[in-house]
Amino acid sequence: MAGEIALDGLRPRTRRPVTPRRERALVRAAQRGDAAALEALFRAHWPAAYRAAWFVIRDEQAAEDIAQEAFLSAVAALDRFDRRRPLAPWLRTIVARRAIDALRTRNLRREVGDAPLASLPADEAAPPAGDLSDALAALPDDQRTAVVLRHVLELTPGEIAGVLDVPRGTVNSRLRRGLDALEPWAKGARG
Amino acid sequence: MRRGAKDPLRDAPAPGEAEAQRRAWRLAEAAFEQRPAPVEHTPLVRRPAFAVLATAMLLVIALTPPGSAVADWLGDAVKSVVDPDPRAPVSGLDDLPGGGRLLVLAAPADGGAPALWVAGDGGHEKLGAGVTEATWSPHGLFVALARGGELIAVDPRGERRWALTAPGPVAGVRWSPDGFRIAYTTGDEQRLVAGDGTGDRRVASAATGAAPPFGAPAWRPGPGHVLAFADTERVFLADVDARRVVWERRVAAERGAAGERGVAGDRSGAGERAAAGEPPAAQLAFSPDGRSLLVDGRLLLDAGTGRPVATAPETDLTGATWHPDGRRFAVVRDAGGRAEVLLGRRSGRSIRFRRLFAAGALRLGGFSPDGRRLLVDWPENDSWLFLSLDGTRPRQLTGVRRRFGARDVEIQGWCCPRE
Repeated sequence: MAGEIALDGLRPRTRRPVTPRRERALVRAAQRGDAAALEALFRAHWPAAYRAAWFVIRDEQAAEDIAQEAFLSAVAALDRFDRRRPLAPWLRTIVARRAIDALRTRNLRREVGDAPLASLPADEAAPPAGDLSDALAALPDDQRTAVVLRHVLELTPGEIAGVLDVPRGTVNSRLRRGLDALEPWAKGARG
Repeated sequence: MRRGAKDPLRDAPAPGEAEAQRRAWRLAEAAFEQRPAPVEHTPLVRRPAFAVLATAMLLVIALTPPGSAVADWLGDAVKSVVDPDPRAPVSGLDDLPGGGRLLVLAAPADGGAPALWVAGDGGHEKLGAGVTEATWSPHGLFVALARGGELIAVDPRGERRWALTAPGPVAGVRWSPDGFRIAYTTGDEQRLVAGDGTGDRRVASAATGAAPPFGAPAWRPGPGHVLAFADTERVFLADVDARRVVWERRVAAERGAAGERGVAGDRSGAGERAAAGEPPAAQLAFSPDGRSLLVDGRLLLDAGTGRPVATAPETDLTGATWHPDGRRFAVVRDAGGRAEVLLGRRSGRSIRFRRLFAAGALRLGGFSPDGRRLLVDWPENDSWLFLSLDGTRPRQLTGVRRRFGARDVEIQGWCCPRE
């Protein structure tokens, strides 16, 4: 992100890359009650969480709910979290699973009261990044989801297979077809 | 694109991102501030005061009749109890340790029909009477309840949304994880209805209709609508939307004593089976990740194939409920007139148990939504125990039946705070 946006309740500061070692230190500090450490973790992981959810479901409210719930789950589980494990894959898997669930739920025909209909996609949402967003949106759900989980959340094909409950070969196939479809955009972007 | 796709995708801000980040941070910060103080895991040998207090407590408890049951618990679990007072009182029904709301069936002292209550999250109120069973919807926005031969969906204030009349008494009501389906049993049928009350249909029926053949079903967490249901000998996994059985597994041999002697705590048809001298149906509980199906608290099946992956030698286990972490589950064991609350965990091909508490009769109420507390109903003491798994002190709510004006209470579910 170019420049730092000052947000209410969030202290503007230069984003510092979170290495695995620093992340472990931040988790330990947050477990001891250090709110600044939690904020650093939040700042490091929120953008990818929200963007991935948005690219998959293409609805602002639903994306916010998905990313928000993932972080609240992380806060709730913070004390029990194994400090030796990296936080990012765990958090991103939560986001991925919830985004997939939301997508599948949206695609079900029979809506009922328990799932708010407000989570229906907002088709009129403005494309955020020009051609890339349009190109992504044009992909079938399964290909778009695979590409987003791989390239935004940085899940491995094996992890994606676990989240989607499909064979790894299927994930690779969807990734290949998705990236092939995005190739014209990539060429254009490269000039 | 192949090598460069990652960067443009990761760096492309999505609409509404900044505002969403601001709102989410406020929530995360508030949740962080409301956490209990971190528990310091100081070795017990460096805490002489604790050792003295714990020893004194054991002596005092052992010398008092009401404390004999607690002594069992302390004898096994004192190492994990940080605060030596195991029964710190809870002020009332409105603010439960572990948060969230409970669905409670209360049978009136005057012998009237059981009433359904919602308790916790700042209040408690009665939703209706004549209820035989109830369950939360996944997010606690609705309650599905059985009232004789009726299946009724209400909101948490008791306002009716829809109702359907079944061919016989309704039991085993379970709301699917996504909220779009409700499974229930009636007569000799396993049935299904959409969450809006439409599309009621039969999923399966028994070959013989002598007794209610199916126990309470269990929905597999995860995508789709995959339902496990069981009779006394077999467990079925069915994709109810595709209308096909994914697998069927005979478990009569593995069930052993449970299938012969009967298992208490299965509300679905248990009374009819007991009256008819029939063994109970297998009790089912899916792990939160949907990969394992626990049968009778002692047999773990691979949910994908139905093959057994682990078993436990213990028998007479009831009320299995998974911890949200998906690695542990709680059960109650009937150990010859005394009940034990056990925490189970898979270890290779077996299941190992750790005893948390023991007393004359106990019933599990489930884990709190945040996983920090395990609720145990202790009827002979007319209290609820909120056991802790993370070293914080257990809490106790006394006079439970008196608070509901009931001769008996039965916890039906523990769900999230009010939205």
